Amino acid sequence: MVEAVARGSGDALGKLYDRYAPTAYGLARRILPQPDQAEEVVQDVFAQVWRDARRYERGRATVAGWIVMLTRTRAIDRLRARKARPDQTSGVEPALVAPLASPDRSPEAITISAEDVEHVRAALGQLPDNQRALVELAYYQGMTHSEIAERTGVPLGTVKTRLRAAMTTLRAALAT
Amino acid sequence: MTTMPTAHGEFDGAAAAYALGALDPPEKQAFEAHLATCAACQAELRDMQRVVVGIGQATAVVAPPEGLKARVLANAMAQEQRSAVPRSADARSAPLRRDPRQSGAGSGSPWNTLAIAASIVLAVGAGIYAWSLRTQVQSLRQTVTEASSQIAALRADLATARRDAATLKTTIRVLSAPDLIQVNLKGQTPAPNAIARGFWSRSYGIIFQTDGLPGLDLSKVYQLWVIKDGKPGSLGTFRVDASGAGVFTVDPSLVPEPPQTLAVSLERAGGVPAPEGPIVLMGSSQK
Repeated sequence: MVEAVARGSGDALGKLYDRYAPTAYGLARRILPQPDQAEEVVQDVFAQVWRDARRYERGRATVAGWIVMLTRTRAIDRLRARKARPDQTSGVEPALVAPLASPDRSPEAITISAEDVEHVRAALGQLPDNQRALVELAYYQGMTHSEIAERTGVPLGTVKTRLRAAMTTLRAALAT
Repeated sequence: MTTMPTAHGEFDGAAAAYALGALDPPEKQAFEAHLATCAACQAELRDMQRVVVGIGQATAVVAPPEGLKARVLANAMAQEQRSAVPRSADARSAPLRRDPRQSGAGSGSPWNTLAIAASIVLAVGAGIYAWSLRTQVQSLRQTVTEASSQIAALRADLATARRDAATLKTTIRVLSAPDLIQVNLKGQTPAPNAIARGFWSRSYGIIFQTDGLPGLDLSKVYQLWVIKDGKPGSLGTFRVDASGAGVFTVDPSLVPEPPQTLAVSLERAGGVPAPEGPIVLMGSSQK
């Protein structure tokens, strides 16, 4: 489908939208409460997919993964811009947003199957509350360790330990 | 494979936070530097990136509003598509770069001759291009120099114009002052054809205008004096232009009283506290 988009097919972009827009919009709404801002994010994301379709390399990332990363970065950028923190444009590593174009440190693909997604969902549900809350602050609010510590009052070292423990659990849920 | 640096311990777990974007800036920089040399962290980061994508995909989907699709498509397709990333092109062209050595460069095949001819054409082309660049640079430098001197000339003109404007303003004020007093000065022996007028007002001082005075070299100046009860007080020095004309203004603080007599003497540059040189102009008020 991305190959057709790369050839300039608007039809293909429409199909891509039908398939992935609910994921992108759901994620954007989770990060940005205002619907209009979430809509703008989705608009930006698909515009970038259109622009960069020729740079997409099959096997480097799934289309869903690509769209998820683009959506998260753009939504968090907007969230931070709204909070007016000019010193920090994005907590999200830009190289992860364009895994297709980044210098190749990781020859293996950042792909994830539908089954893996279900495993992650289940594992998230089973995380201790005090770990899941920190993951959500980092993931959906784009907060760094120290911002989380400040927000929650949890000591910085504890924030780091819990976040790491949570991510390790989630990784274990992925089929290897 | 890369050996694990001794300082790895401090980066334990950093890959997870990095993938989430949760590292604070200094930690992030340090980890990125470490990551470049640590295979273990690179592998861990790949896994954590999959987790990050998984969390995103596991987030509840929401049906986008009606009408968004049309806007998304219109907005996207109004933009130009970028060409493919050069990285894959590099990978493809790498074997080509190795070709000449493998096929034995200099073996005299027609392809080599062509390649040499092509490189000569390229070299000549590059030479011409460099020459044309140098010419352009020289021409630009000249333009800049000319522009700079024009600016300097314009600045000088502007300064003159400002002085003239200030003088003119003072002249108008003095001439329209209700307490105006005029002093006509006549040329004395050294400059019999010279003539001058001084206009005084309490509020604006003196505007002094002269004509027919000989030009001076840099070692000399004309000095204006106000003479009251036989005692001269200096009002400052001035020069005249090539036609012998000069306009000179005197601050009101120097002449609070209406001047009885004004005189001009020829003095050494910088002026003198009391007249030393010959008097060239002199006159008294008409009152």
